[in-house]
Amino acid sequence: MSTTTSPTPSTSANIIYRRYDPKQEVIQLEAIRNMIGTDLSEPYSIYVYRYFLYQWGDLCYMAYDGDLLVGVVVGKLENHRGGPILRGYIAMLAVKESYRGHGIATKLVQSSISAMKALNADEVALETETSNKAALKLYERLGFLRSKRLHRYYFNGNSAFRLILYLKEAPNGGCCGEEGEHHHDHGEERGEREFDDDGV
Amino acid sequence: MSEGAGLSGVELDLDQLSLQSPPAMPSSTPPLSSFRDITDEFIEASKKLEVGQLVQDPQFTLFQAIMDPKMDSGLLEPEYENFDAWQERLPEEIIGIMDRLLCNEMAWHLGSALSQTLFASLYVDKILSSMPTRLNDATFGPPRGEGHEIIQNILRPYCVAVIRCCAYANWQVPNEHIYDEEDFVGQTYGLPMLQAVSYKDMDNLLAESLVWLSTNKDKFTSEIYLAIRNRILLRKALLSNFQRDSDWKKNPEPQWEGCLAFIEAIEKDHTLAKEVPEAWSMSIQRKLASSVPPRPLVDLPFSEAISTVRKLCTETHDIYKLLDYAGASNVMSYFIHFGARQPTPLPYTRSLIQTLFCKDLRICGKLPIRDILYDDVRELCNPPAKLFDPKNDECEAPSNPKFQIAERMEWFIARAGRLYIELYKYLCQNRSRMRRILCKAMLEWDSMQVEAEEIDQELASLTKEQPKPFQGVMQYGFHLSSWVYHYKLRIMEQITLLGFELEIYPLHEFDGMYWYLQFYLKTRSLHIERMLAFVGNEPKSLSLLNFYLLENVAMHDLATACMLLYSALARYNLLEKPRNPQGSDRFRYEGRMKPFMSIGVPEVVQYDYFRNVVDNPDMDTSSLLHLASEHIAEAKKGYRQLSTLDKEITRSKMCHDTYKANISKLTRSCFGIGVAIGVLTREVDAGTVESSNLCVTLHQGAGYHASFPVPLVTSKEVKK
Ligand SMILES: CC(C)(COP(=O)(O)OP(=O)(O)OC[C@H]1O[C@@H](n2cnc3c(N)ncnc32)[C@H](O)[C@@H]1OP(=O)(O)O)[C@@H](O)C(=O)NCCC(=O)NCCS
Repeated sequence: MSTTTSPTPSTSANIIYRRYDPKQEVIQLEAIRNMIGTDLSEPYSIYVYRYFLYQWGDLCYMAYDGDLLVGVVVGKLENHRGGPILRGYIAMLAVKESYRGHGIATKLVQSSISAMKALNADEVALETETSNKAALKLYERLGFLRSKRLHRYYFNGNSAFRLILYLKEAPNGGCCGEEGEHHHDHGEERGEREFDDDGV
Repeated sequence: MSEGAGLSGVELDLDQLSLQSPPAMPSSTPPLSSFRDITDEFIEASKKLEVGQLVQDPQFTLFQAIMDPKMDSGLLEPEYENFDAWQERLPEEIIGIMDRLLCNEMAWHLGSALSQTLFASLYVDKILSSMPTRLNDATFGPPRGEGHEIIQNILRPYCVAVIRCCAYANWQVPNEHIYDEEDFVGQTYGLPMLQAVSYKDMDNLLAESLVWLSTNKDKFTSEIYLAIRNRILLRKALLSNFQRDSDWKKNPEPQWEGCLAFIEAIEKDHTLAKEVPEAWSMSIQRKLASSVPPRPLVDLPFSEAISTVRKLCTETHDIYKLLDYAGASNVMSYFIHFGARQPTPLPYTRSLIQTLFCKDLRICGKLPIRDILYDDVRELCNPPAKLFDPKNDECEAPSNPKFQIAERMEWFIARAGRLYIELYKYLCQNRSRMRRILCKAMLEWDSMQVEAEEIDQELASLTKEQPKPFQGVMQYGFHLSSWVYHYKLRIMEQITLLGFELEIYPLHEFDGMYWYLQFYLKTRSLHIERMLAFVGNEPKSLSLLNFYLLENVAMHDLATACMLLYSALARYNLLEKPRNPQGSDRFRYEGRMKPFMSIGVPEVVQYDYFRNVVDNPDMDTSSLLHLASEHIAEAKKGYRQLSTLDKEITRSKMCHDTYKANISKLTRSCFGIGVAIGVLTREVDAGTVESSNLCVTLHQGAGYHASFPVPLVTSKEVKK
């Protein structure tokens, strides 16, 4: 579909995929920040990147065209709300505009999911704006399911879908049970909310 | 997380921050004298860290790191520093400012923060920054300069009244179940909202403003004069209505609709307004110390502000009908239709309706909770009168059956009463939230059903109930648990319907999800038939159950037709089903059905069985479609009949128009889906269907029912 504006430099064949390497953090982090800073509308503070990369750098993958970073996925993997479910989470995903539509994001997400699977993840979750057609299509093609809709989830007032990819059989008699009480202290909750919330 | 995840403009040097957080924070603040210079130790300690290494205090959350503007020492910008509220303004500009303040107020009602709306107004800032609590202190400072009179006599009263109106709303909304930061942002950043100023004083101020205006009438053209006047009159009316709502027991007659004429007037003369963009500033947010990050200003277009304030008035007016109690089934259907309104009613109205419905353990301003509960139970399943006999409560001998009946009914009131009242409140949440809460409620109703069945058995023996034959077997009525079961099934249907409405189900899940919808409806129809066998000749119950049956059967036909149609479309890979997804279809099915997994009856069916009944592998596609068209014809018939029933039967005494509008949406969906079945049938019969030459797109608008969008089946050539 987007082939009319295909990038001049390369086809997807020349793209090299690498896992994030903490030893190269100075260079890589800067490149990742620059890319996400331009491709997502608002730059995250460096702390946010470090929060993910320092703890789950092995779930972060990058796509390069030569020396140029053209795509990145950042994630984490934790027990969901301290329970038995090991839940992976895709926190950021972006592909440089002129490189989109060539399956780069798909490859990146697949790599991250494989890494999560190797660590025995039960499921992988993420949120995306209900209007982000590209992201929805990409994730759903990978087998993610829209599990719920979150009203005015983002500060810009837009709603989100929570998407979940189930990697294992549902535990017996599992139920929704995710509907925590509504947040009283939104300082704390909101933080969760931005990144991995499952409250009502 | 994606773009716009709300991290707007927070530029924090968190590099430093993470290192500054010592491993443990002293919990109390030490006296100043005990401060010690730790620069050297700090530098020494930092040397031990790798670049990028994370030092994180458990108390210090990711959220605080990104969001806390206390770490952002942003500067106030010149536009803010130089703003002069007394600067002379044209009357057209005054109108422009008033209109934009209305836009601010409505944007706030719609869920934006005050910092993005009203508080970004430099006029409002001038008034509030001196932290006034009395009306006389709520000023722009001492008047000065040419042309200050209109500012003093029109703009100031108007600003003050807008603030006071917001104070009323900000008091009401959090009184009920409305989600802060999601539906509504109540944060006032420590600024006074003039709550302490009495309504009378406020109203006087506006009255004086009108007097000044008419005294100075000759200073304005007649259009301008009227435009200003209409704006003050609207504000006066809004203020009065907010005040009346806050004391609704004394003011049970709503007057909100009295605002509509003014709204219409200001909508027309808005053309006179001249904008004053420099009177708003983003940099105000820097001043508002809070734990909320800066957010972009919200610029609600005037036309949307008008439709919002109109909605506020008409819907808030309407909910007062509740105070004239019309019976449990009518109240319930009012709430269902209220919640389904598009767009969703404002948080203010959704909060107030909950207050009017249930305050201080009184329903609709008067009834005890047990009355509406009994009313609902009796109307639906007419249990033996002995259960409700007030004399039971007077009986003091524990061995007396009356005493024992009373005890069980007490249990029922306590157990079911809470869930039942909550159900009404759930119907007032935004639709996304509603679906999630209903998933939780369903589990509670499920366990209550089990408990109620036990109580029913005990009651049967206490009342010496005679079993009745039903389907060839002698059975007891199981009245209370029947009632619970009926609500539980309705909740299950509602969750499924909302899945379609909220676009939680992608196209390739439609066949399966419509299968579940028809399954729950079918189960409820059977249950209704069973209840019909036990209600005797009670006309109210018979009429209610027969109405529910009709409604149910019609939707069952519609859902079945949809299921069959999508099942046929799936055969040709027309529903964008992912080809090589990760995980497995069975895991996805279990994930989808997870909220229902622990429900006893009706159960989630096994995956293989599910695929089999949805795919109908033994039936050829023509027969599948033929069956679908038969069901759609039945559905149309059903809805035609439902559209002719009166408001007594349809329990829509308080919302008959909405009831009819809903039936007509369902009818449109029937027609649209009928057309799709027809198109596909022709293609199938011609033997030309392939995923390469047909495509399916969903049509949500065009007056279709939100849970039954219509698929457009078109050939690809035609599309291009
Ligand atoms: C979302 C994003 C990462 C996709 O990157 P990409 O490399 O183009 O993705 P892929 O090439 O792997 O595409 C996957 C599928 O999505 C589809 N897609 C891509 N852009 C699309 C668009 N604008 N509209 C609809 N579908 C689109 C592709 O066509 C492809 O499906 P197909 O092969 O059936 O055609 C990229 O658009 C992006 O960086 N967007 C901005 C950041 C963002 O939204 N991130 C996601 C936040 S959770």
